[in-house]
Amino acid sequence: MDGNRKYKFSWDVIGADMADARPSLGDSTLVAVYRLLQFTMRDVIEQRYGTEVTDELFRAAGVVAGKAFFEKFCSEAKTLQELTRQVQEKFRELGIGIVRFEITDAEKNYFQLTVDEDLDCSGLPDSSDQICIYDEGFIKGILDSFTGFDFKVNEVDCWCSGARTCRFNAQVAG
Amino acid sequence: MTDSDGSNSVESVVAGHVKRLLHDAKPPDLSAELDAVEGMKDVQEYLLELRFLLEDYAKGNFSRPIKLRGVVAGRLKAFQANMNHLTWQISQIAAGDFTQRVEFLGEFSSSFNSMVVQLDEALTELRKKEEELTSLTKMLEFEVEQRGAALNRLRVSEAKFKYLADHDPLTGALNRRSFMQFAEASLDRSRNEGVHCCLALLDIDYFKRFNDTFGHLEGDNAIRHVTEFGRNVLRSDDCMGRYGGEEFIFIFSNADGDQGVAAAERVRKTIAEHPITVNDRPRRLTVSIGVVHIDPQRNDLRGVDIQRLLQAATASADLALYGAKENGRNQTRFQPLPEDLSVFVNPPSHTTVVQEKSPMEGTGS
Repeated sequence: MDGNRKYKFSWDVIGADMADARPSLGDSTLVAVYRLLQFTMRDVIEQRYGTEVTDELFRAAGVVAGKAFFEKFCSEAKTLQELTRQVQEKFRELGIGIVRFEITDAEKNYFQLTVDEDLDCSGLPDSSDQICIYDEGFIKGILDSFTGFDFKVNEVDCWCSGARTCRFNAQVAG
Repeated sequence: MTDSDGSNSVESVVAGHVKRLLHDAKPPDLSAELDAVEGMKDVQEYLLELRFLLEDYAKGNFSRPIKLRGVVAGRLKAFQANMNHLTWQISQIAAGDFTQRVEFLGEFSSSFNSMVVQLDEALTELRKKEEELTSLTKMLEFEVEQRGAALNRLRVSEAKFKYLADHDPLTGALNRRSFMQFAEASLDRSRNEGVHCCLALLDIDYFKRFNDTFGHLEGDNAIRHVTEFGRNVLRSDDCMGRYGGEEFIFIFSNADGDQGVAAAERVRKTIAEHPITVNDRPRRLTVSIGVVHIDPQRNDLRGVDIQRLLQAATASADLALYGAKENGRNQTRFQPLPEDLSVFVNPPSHTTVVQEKSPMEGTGS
C-alpha cells in the first residue's frame, strides 16, 4: 500500500510558497475555517466508522503531525530544555496554543503540560468529553521523535473558562 | 423573607446557608430541610470543594485536582496551571535556562522577569570573569612551568659546574682544592670529637717510565685505573682526592694508626693485584703510600690552626711516602705526626715500613 499511496504526508505536499500561491490572501486563515475542516471530518468519519475509530484516526493523524512538526521545527534540540523552549516558541508563533510545562522529568520520562488558547478546542462549549484527541497524538509525535520512546499521552483535564485550557500527561507506554 | 406563619421562607434559608458556606470559619452541614431542596446538595458540595481548594491555594498547595466544572472552576484551574507552570519555570531558571519569562501575574511578572534578566546578566558577567581568571590562571601556570623548567635547567647546570669545580676531570676524584676543604673539616671534627684519623699520600711507582714507554694517553688510563681500584676498597667515611700528577691523597676517618695503615694497604694491594691492560697485555702497576696518624688525644694539637695541622700532616705523609719510595716502592710506610709541628718539613728519623717486593725497580719514581 505504501508505494501506491495518494496522501502520504510530507511538508512538500501541502505547498511551501504561500506568497506565490496566495499573493492576495496570504498564509493565514480563521480558526473557524481550520475547525470547520476538522470537525466536519470528525462528523463524517464518526457517522461511517463510529466515535472510537474516529478518535483513533485523529490521534494517529496527530502523531504524524507531531513528528512532522518536530522534524521541521525542533530537530536541532539537543537537550530537553531546548526542546521545551522550541515547542513553546513554535506553538505560540504558529498560533497553535500557549504551552506551559508543569513537570518535565527526563529520568522518569514523565511530562505534564497545559495548552491554553488551543487551536482545536479553545472556546468550545463545556462538556464532559475529552475532545483534544488530535493534540494527544501531536504531543506524542513530538516526544516520540525526541526521545525515541513510545509515549502514551492523555488529556487529563479539559475545562471551559472562556479560553479553554487542556492539561496533558505523557509517559512512556507500557 | 418570612412566611405568613412566621417561619422563614425556603429562599431565605437557602440564601442564609450559602452565606454561611461562604463566610463562616466552619462550614455548616446541610440540614434535612435544605437537603430536600432540589440542587442544594450539589451547591453544598461545590462550595465545600471550592473552600478546600481556596484553602490549599492560600497555603501554597496547587496539586489538588479540580473536579468542579463551570467558569469559576475554569478560572481556578487556570490559576492552578499558571502557578504549576511558574514552579516549573523557576526550576528551569535554577537549571540555567534564563530565557524563561512569566507572562501572567501582572506586576509580579515584570519584576520576576527583570530579576531573571539581571540574574542572567550577573551570571554572564561572572562567567566572563571566571573565563578571564581561568585564562589568566592557565597563563600563570604556563609561566610557572616555564620558569620551573628554566630553574631546573639552571640547577642541573649549577650542579654540573659545581661537580666540575670540585672534581678532577680525568679521574672523577675530588680535586686538590675541594679535597683539602673536606680534609680540613674532617681533621677539625676529628680533633673536636676525639676521633682518630689518618691522612695518606699515594704515588704510582715508576710512572714516568710508564708514561715514556706507553705514552701519555696510557698514562692517563693508568691514573684512572688507580683511582677506580683505590676508590673501590675505601670505607664509606674515607675520601680520596687527586693531589696532582700521579699522586693521590686520602683521609681515613675514624682510623687509628694501625687501621690507617690497613686501609692504605687495601688500596695498595688491590692496585697491585689488578694489572692494567696496555696494548692487549696486562701490565702490573704498583703504588707507594705514606700514612700519618693524627691522634686526637694530643693536647698540643688542640690550639693549632687547622690549615697548619693539615699542612703538617700532609708533609709528614709525604715524608713517609718518600721513605716508602726510598725503601723499594710498592709498600706503605707509616709515621706519627711529629711532636713539633714546626719541623714537619724535616724527614723523620723513625718510620714503620709495611713492604712487599718491588715490581719495577730502578725506573724513576
